[in-house]
Amino acid sequence: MKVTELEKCIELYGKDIYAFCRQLTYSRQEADELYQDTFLKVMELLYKIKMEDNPKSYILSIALRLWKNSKRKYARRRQIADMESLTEEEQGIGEDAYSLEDEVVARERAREVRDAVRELADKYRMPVYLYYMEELSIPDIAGVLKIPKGTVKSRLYQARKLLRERLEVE
Amino acid sequence: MSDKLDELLKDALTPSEEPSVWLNQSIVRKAKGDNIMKKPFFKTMPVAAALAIGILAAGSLTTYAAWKYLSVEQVAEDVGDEKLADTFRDKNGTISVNESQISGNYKVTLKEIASGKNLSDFMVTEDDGTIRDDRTYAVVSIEKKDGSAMPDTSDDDYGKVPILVTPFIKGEAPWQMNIFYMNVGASTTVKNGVMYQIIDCDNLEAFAGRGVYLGVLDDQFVDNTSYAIDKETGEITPKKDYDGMNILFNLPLDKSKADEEAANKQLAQWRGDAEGDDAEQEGTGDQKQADEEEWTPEKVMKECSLIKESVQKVKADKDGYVSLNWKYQGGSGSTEMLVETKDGVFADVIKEGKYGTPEATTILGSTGSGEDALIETLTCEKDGTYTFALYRPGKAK
Repeated sequence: MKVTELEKCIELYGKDIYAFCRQLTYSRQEADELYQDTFLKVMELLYKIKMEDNPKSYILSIALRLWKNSKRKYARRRQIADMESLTEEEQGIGEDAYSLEDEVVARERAREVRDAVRELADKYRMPVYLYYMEELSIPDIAGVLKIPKGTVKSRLYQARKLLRERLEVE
Repeated sequence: MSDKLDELLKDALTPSEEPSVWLNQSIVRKAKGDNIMKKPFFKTMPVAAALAIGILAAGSLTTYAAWKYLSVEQVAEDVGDEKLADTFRDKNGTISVNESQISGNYKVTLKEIASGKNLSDFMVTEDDGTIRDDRTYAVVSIEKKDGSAMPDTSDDDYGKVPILVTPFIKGEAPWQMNIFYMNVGASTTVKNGVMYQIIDCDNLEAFAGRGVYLGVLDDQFVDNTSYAIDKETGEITPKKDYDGMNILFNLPLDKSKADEEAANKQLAQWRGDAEGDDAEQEGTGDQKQADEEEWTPEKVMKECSLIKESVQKVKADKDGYVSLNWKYQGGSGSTEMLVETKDGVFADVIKEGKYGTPEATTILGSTGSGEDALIETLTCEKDGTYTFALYRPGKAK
């Protein structure tokens, strides 16, 4: 029964959780590690999770905690992994894309945006991922990050301000 | 709050990558085991990368009429390790084994082992840069039982079924003491449908008197589903009900090199490393130090001192924004923030009248670290003003 619930969690939230892990880490291999560790931890804590209560936030908070606890490990690997940190999508700017200039430009812009977000301090980066990528509400982000709702808003605000400057968006 | 930046962020951050099917299956399979084991920490990136290479796939049905097996020297040369090839060629500390076993869908041959200092071109380094040059190497070949070819490293199927080659120490539970704790290195190549792996770890010869095994299994980790240990004798055996490959060889190490004291010391070091890694994963030690993410209004009020000269009273403008600049002992900053209206930082506080509560204060940020940190706060006051203040860790005496 427990494993069935875990499979359901993976089916429902796997892609979103993986996207988060992918942004927190600097290579697919590390993302795989973090993703696996997250769901194994979910399995241990499954008794605490109520499927009807949208456990995505809770699972994200587990991923975040595991990442924080292993941050030094990932920081150490970062330099080595930087070269392989481009996503498949980014690497796939190939022959088809070159025939579509707009698409190339859009992909390049998207890469710039991701890079700009990645360069933010963690306290700004995390709310951005949780808000824009995971589409969590402010109260849910507050729950994941364990900070007051007002702080979430202020960090999102500051993050947007920094990104606006760095990306030169009006 | 929807504008061009929002659109850019949503577009750029929309998830485009998914976890692989085998990764999800691996998690579920782990979860089904009796023991959920924490994934061990790889000591070095090259090692982790090398182990990742050691993942192979089952799939291709191409059958080869004739096999051409590589010699251990050729295997070493093929993975670019000329020095190790010379070691095998010169029989320098090597022991030829050539024992084959069949389990699950595979036939595995332990070809040869070598132990000693500076036998390889590849060095495993610790996080602090220490080179571990006293090593044991084992060369194994892995092939399909039905004669079909193992996928080449360039095949799409490569990477779907993991193969793990790991020493075990007699008397130590395989899931508690295995290659992940032994400062592992690994290289893999596939030739003529046969996979070859060279694994290396800290020199195992000191354990020759105690007994050392080499396990080969189709999993990424070792848990108590694949191997068992007899608590009385310390003997390790493959579990018969394991669904897959769980081969076990005895490693014929040079008994004259047995050194129980050195073995105990080595075990303690491996265990220490393992505990250290666990501690790191649990966030102990300096990992916990001064994480600005942890500053909350409650914590600031409880653990920090107000810097009185930093206090500023401000009002929101007609659009609900406050603007302020601050400077203090070399630190400085500026903030323009939406505090009122429904998207404002203090919208809920104003709406629900939660003045004077921790929710009425927000942490704008912090600069510096440790005792020199400056924590910026903004508090929503009942009289419609906002108070900016800096705090410093430590209570005033």
